[in-house]
Amino acid sequence: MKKFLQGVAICGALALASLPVAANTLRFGGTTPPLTMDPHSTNDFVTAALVRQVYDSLVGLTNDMDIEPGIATAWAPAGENTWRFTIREGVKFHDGSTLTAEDVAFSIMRQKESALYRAMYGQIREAKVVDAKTVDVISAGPDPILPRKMVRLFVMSAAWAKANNVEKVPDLGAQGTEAYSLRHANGTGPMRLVLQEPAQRTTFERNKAFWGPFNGNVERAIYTPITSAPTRVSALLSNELDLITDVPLQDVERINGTQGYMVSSAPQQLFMQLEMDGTRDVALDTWDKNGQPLQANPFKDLRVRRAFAHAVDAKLIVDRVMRGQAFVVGTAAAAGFGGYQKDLDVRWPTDVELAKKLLAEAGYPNGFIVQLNCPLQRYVNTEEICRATASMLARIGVEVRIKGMPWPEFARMLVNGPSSSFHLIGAAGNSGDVQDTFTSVMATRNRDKGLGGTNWALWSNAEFDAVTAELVGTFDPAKRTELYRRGLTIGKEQVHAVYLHQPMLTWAMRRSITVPARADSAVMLKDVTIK
Amino acid sequence: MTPDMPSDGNLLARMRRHPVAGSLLATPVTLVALLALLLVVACAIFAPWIARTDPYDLATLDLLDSHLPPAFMAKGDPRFLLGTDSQGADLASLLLYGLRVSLLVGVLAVSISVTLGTIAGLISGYLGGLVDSIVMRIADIQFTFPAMMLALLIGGVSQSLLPNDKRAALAMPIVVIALGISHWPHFARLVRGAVLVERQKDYVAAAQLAGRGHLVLMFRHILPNVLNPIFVLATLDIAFAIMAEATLSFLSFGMPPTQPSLGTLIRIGYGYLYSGEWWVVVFPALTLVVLLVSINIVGDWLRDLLDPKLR
Repeated sequence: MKKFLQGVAICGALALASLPVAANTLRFGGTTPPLTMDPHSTNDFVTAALVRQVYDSLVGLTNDMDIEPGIATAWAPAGENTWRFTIREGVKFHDGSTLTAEDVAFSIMRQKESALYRAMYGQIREAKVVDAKTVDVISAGPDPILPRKMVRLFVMSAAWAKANNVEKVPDLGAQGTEAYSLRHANGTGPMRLVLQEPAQRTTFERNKAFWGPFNGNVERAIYTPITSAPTRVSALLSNELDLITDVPLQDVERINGTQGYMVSSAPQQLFMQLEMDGTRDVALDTWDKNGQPLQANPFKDLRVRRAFAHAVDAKLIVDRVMRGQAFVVGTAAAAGFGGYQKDLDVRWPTDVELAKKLLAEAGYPNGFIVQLNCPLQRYVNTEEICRATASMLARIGVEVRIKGMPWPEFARMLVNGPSSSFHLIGAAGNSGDVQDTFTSVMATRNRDKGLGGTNWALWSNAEFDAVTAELVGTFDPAKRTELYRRGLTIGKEQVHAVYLHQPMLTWAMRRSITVPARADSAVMLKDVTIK
Repeated sequence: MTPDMPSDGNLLARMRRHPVAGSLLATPVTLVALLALLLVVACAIFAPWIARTDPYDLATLDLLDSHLPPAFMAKGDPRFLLGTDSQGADLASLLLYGLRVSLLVGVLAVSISVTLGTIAGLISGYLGGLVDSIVMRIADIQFTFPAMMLALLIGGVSQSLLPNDKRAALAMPIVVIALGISHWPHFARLVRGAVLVERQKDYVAAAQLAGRGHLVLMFRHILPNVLNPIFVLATLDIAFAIMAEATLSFLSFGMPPTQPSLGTLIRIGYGYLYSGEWWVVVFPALTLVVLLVSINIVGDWLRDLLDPKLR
């Protein structure tokens, strides 16, 4: 009898224990695990999307990628190189301590030291605490889009960092780095970190003391990374997960057609392009049709660049390879970017005959052979895009040899070189403003000025550089629009790259779940409603 | 009708008495398998002439033809009997070329296994003693390794060592060598066992007395007498090699997508399982099954035929 009662008691306890899990727990899955819980040590977007649940950014980011008050309630320029931020009062960290201006200043200086954020925050000289609710950020030069950049500046408790010996950003690159902040967190965000099990799962629970509106009803959330796309889809359909990110495009229709499930999508803050070597006198990995290395760089001839732009049918790639889950782009910007100009966004028309004529005029009537370096993983359907590009260019006599590389190898090849004269890549301004695209992707490479850091095409145009230089120091909105337009037009006319499309990111979920899909891939747990 | 032309009934009766044809007729399954195998091999050999398009020629691909279902389905296109893949390549042509790659890899890999294994087995069985011990212990050590793991190891290491632009060109030799090396001990053991038996026989002693050298004895006298089991094992081993290649390719350590084998096609098609585009994975998988089953049945039949103990 006693044993029986014990059994009942255990069963009851188990039932009770499982109850709170059942109550409004969101089980969601994505491609890769968060690399760390330290918000400053990596700019990996999957990590940033998860960290954003726990840490608030200085300037908030709405679900439509607009800026809104975050930890800072207001900001305004204060002198030539300075922005003044007003800090929100009464914000509590998860450990109960109150957020101060010192925490904000500490976080700015900590994140700015991180190797991967140097391009974004490297120009910041100082973060000065003016009074209990005011912080001045002083840059090396004028920076009109600094508030926009601050959407990636995560605020951490200075006292907590000191107590746990993580005042310096841990270096993720070193093998076996272990630091307290990699697996623990103390932010002010809408969710608290319960447990971070690297490469296994990450568990969050609701922060009852959150300062802002908590629109959803999630009490607990568990993130599980599943690398294989078909496995991720089956985890959703077999009810192991409630929501998955990065749905393979071919499965969108099938999931939408399954009772009780739906797919939602949003344009990603990124556009795909084929970059062509704009600097070298002899291009790498190019051959004539007899297999002899070319002793020239065909891509320095505008006619060859134009021929490529006319030969690659981006619309067809969007329709067939991306199955409609992308938008064709015609300039170096995409809808949702700050500074995007809709009326300029018109692609070169697809015209094979014209492309052939241009190639012939440039001195390649029979075409040539070129290696296309193609990143695998990372972006959606890259291998397929590269193969489609190869068959389209084959029609104008250009034989494309595809060299597929896993993402780390591809990234190394670019960073240590770039040892490529023709490659596919996703371009973006980190902050989502076209100015960032101009300065880092398109401006002539110049390490000292911090320009062209991700200009892997080695493209260089003096007129464009002048526009960029002017834009960076201009605050007047009308003048800025004019400069955006000039820059985008030069990029298109001079075929900075063959612009392809802006991919959509696709999420699939049970119909009982409501959540807005966001361009930065973040599942905002505070906005998730479970019916 | 001339009297010396046998009637159909007589022909059948005569065939029944013939040892090879008779055993075939007695087991219709074997007959079907043999015909299927011949058909598949013929398809592979004549692929460039049978296939409607050359799937390696990118200029012929049209993205507008992509994702088409097989011709017999509602949205199918009569030009593409088995449908198309994501790039608009004709799946039937891809299959024919993939079959060619798979069979070629299988046959070449087994040739390596046979050559290595036979030489090792002959030497080891004929010389005996220390040489025998060393060769057989090496074989034993390799037996403790699953053949698949060894092939994966060789394939993986060589892929990471090779410069990227050489990988595609060397993919097939690497797969062939990896599979060939991983299976030689089977042949070595078999041959050694057979050689140990043959060596005791009088004709070997007679040849020795006639003053023949070791090499001549091994290769001219003993080898021809142990060929039958080698032949049977090799047939069955081709099936293993083809399957192992498909596994390697499925794990993307084998043939690249630019020269797809059946395994590569299955790997690519696997990503479309949920989307309803079943033809990309089902047809290559079916072809692989037919190929492997027929090789195994024919191999078994050959063993029955050639092994006097089983008769």
